[in-house]
Amino acid sequence: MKARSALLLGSLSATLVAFALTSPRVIAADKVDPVADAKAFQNFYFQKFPDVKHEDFVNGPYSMNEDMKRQWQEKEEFPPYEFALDAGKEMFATPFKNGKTYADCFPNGGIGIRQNYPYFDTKEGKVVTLELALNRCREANGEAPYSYVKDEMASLTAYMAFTSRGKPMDIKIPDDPRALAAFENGKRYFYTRRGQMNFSCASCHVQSPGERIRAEILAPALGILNAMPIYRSEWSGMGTTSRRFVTCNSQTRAVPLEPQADEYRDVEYFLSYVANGLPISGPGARP
Amino acid sequence: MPFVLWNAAISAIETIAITPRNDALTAFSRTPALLLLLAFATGLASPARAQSAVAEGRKLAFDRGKGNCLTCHVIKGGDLPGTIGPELKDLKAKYPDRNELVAIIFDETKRNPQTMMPPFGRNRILTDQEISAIVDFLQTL
Ligand code: HEC
Ligand code: HEC
Repeated sequence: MKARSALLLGSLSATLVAFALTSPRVIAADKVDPVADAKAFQNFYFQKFPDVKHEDFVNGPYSMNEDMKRQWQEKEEFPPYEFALDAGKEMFATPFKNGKTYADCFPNGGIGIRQNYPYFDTKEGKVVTLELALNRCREANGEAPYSYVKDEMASLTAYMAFTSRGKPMDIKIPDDPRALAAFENGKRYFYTRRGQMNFSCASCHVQSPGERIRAEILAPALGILNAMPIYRSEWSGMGTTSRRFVTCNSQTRAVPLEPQADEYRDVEYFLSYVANGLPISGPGARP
Repeated sequence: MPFVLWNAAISAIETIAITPRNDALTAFSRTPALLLLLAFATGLASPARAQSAVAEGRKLAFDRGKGNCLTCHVIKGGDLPGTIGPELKDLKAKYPDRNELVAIIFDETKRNPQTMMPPFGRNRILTDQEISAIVDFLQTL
């Protein structure tokens, strides 16, 4: 481990946290600067890992380790998420009982739009993720919502991600103080330590990417959602963004939130925005 | 390989974490004279007990539901170590005063506010006695 860079990094995240915590008390909105935040966030990883091609950060742990990357590339010949992709494609084309389809709920018929999610809905005043939009589509058409964490939801998002592969993440923050507040709230959640182990999301994915935690290699937070949903051998199946958030919280003895709780939506907004410009790579496969 | 950090039951954890720190307890564990007294009282000062404390400390350090130190540290005799922290070795030379090791395990954020190492004592992951046994084990490394 590189003690000095860890310390440096620590102070970077400390600065960000300090910033996040003090900004509301100083000059309210003027201090929230997502453009500068995203630039600093990306530069941090580009400088820490000068040998990693920028577009490779979206491949999670594989971007950090050459051996693993080779094994993964071999596996991609017969990707383990293929069954989910096929199922998702079929579900997407199958009409609801009322004759409508998912395509009717989304811009461009839902094809090639993954890079625009989550977005800030100025009518609702909240962040809307792709998973949430899919369940709302179902409910608006008289169908029961799916579980957020796996199976059908993972299949649908796998298909939608696949049709968007290679497109740069393109998250907008509209000129609305509530959108800035959502970004800021997501950022605060990301850097705040919680639970008995006293970890923040940043402890693992900013302070220690590339390090091994037991046998697993930690993914960098930059582009960490671009590959969602993912197949994990450990899950013997697919998992959504919701599933990964809940898992990371509970495996570190912090109390997980409900999938699609406001704070998770805001974290997703923050993490996606700072990955702007990096390609969608989902669905992904993980060891 | 499943990523299980601490596989004990996840119950009322947030409650534990936000429980205000017991300062009396902290002061107690940081006072050498009292620690010595405690050591006598629990019999740790006798060689036989010291032996079993080392074995107990090793068990606690490796146990995934307790110290789970291998998540981050290479430790002689342990499998599948992580790389987040430094290898734990020659600790007696580096920290001749055992209280320094107790303090690191109790709450390393005191020395380094940004550390990833969990505050095992402050957040009641380990009791003072368990920490003491782990320190006995660390001093043999
Ligand atoms: C103590 C460690 C730890 C903490 C804290 C943690 N994670 Fe993770 N996270 C992991 C591990 C281990 C994995 C699986 C290996 C990997 O991909 O990084 C992972 C994977 C992920 C992934 C999938 C990455 C990929 O490409 O497979 C996402 C997204 C993620 N974490 C988000 C979060 C968020 C958001 C938080 C805070 C709520 C968080 N993590 C907190 C350890 C942690
Ligand atoms: C999640 C990560 C993590 C876990 C779990 C962890 N540590 Fe650490 N530990 C660290 C890091 C990182 C350091 C480096 C110093 C710092 O960050 O302040 C460290 C430093 C230390 C040091 C000082 C080493 C030196 O050479 O100066 C000791 C002793 C230590 N740890 C013991 C333990 C013991 C005993 C356990 C289990 C009961 C444990 N650690 C669990 C991350 C961890």
